[in-house]
Amino acid sequence: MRDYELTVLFHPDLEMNLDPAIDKVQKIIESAGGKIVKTENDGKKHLAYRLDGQDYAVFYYLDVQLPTEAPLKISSNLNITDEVLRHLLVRADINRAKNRAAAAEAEAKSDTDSEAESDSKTNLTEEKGD
Amino acid sequence: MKKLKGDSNPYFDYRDVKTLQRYLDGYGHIEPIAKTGLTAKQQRQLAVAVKRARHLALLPFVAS
Repeated sequence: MRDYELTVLFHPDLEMNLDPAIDKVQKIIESAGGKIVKTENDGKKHLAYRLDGQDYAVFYYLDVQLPTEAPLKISSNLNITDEVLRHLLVRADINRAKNRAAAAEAEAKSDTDSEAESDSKTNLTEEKGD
Repeated sequence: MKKLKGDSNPYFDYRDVKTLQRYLDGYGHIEPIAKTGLTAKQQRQLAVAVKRARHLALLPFVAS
């Protein structure tokens, strides 16, 4: 089993009712002997160029573990899935994961900082109360 | 274009369009190593990340 990253671009009309499409993708992965570690819905995004006549697509990320023969099966299955405009299946990179974790942490920190600033007055009064 | 040297340990992620865009010119071409100021290894990683991002329509093949 190796770690892979799968990105799936769903048809924008499915945005409100995405679960059946996601189920379909998960079934494709599991039927090929794969295991889903993590999923992330990145929502509808504008595309840099049109895909199948669509200007938008719903981006869905999956971290998966696959046996060696699975990537080929999954790719050919996703290619014939109507809900999927496009997909990308690549080997996971430990540095990439680290980089993302660091970026997420930095973002969370800046979020809390700005929150702290906006709440500074209330915090101050609370602290005084203590 | 100014050299982009001095980036502390840049890592190129195909999902991180904002970072990748700094290394593209107005036409969506990847800038050469002389302009990006990256090491050869980083430039190769950049090229792979940009190509993956293009495949996902996150970046244009040719900017209009």
